[in-house]
Amino acid sequence: MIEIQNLSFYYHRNRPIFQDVSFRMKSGIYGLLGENGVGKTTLLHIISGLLFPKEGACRVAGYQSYNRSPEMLKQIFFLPEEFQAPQVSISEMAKYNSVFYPHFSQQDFESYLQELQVEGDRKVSELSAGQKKKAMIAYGLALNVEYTLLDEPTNGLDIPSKSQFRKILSSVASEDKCIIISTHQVRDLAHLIDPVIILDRNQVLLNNTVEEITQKLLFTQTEHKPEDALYAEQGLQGYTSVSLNPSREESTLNIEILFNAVVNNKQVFKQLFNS
Amino acid sequence: MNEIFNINRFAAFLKQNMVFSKMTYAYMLAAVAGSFLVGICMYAYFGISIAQLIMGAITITILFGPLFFEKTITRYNGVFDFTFPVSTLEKILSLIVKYVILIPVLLMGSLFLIVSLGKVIPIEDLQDFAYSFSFNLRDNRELHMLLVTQAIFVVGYFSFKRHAFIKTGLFLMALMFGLSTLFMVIIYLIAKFTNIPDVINNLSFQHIGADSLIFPILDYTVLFILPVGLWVVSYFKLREKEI
Repeated sequence: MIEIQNLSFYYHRNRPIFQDVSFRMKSGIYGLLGENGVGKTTLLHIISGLLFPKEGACRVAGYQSYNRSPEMLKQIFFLPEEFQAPQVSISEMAKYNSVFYPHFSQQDFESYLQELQVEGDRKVSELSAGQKKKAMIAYGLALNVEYTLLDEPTNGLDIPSKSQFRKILSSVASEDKCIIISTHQVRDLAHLIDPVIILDRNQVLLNNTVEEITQKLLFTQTEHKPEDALYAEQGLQGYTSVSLNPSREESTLNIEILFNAVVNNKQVFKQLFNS
Repeated sequence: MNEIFNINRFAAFLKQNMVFSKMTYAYMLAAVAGSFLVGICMYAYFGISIAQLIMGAITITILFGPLFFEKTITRYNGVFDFTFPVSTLEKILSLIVKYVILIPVLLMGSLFLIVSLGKVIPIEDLQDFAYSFSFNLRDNRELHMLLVTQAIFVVGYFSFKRHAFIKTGLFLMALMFGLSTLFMVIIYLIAKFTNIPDVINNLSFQHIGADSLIFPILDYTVLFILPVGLWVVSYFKLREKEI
């Protein structure tokens, strides 16, 4: 479990990123959403021990993240959005790094490389940006760690690779794993993400499972704009909207609409979901 | 204890480091061999021995190795290193093994082998050039001062985000200038406001006494505690480093 307790963080004192924020993340594929600059990447850095909380605490599997203890780090893999690739092949990297990760699977690694169509013998630094990302995704997921943090993993991936990535991700997810994906490309991962976390400046607006969200909210597609909609978007086929769901009707979560609704009705959603 | 240091994990980390740096070591060996070949040619054709230049270049490489070969820590290249499951102590020890033991031994050892070989091959110019190399230190203090200087630049590497080499060099120069000025002012003030100008004017180690404890204490401080202390500072700098 990842526990964030009364976390405060800032790069500049007069512009806090997080202010006394508390929440937990257990298992599942978390979609970490938010507008530009709200602190999604910062949160991932804090969880992985790359940044230290100014106040409060961040614990991963009971360990304080800022200690960067090996016992904690061997349970975490963090793939940043942009990175400098290693000067070795991904196969060599896996061969010498995997000894530090007890659950690494060579079979999974080779399978992921094949599915993502990445050459394991070429130096990672010589690959294209998309190939580098795919190589590191294959490596990271094959580590089979308890906490996988991915920052914009589908950026730079072609359409078939996004499909393969979704397939691999759904096979990797399990009850004892927590995968956190920070992304703006919600459509790429819409049907995989559960729970959803939406960050705002200094606060968490939403941290709920899809079931909890769809119990309280109704997502509809109608010809005319519903009068009681919390948020509605006009498209070619009418209005896609989200409204309160007192009768607990079933509907399919539309993450993009949800995000826009939350951002436009922050107080309402905060109260609704007791964030 | 496992959190701080694990011998198996450390050994695996050293092995990983060596494999990932194998091309760097190969280039170093090639550079040593290549510079020796160039030196032979220059000695044979122009009568100039660049032995001291080669030794100087190797010394500089050893001194400033961490700044030359370690990448500048940024959020683009630091993520994988800092999230790698080894402890900070193991990371610092791996740096010590690499830059204090491995690279100096590799560079000096390979040069020593090549020079020794040159001394036995029956070619006059080659032998003359080989004999122009000297591997003797004037005294042990020279080695220790190399270690201290190297350790200072390692602290600089972890302290400064960019241009660590220049900033550390400037910091050292400023420190020496500042300390010199401070001591001159202190001595001036003592001389001005006390009645012991003669002692100040004639101050020398001979007056302190050859069997005084002050010499061994200063020696131990500078030669042993200082480099160790600087590496300890580097450890805490690395521990506190944020990406």
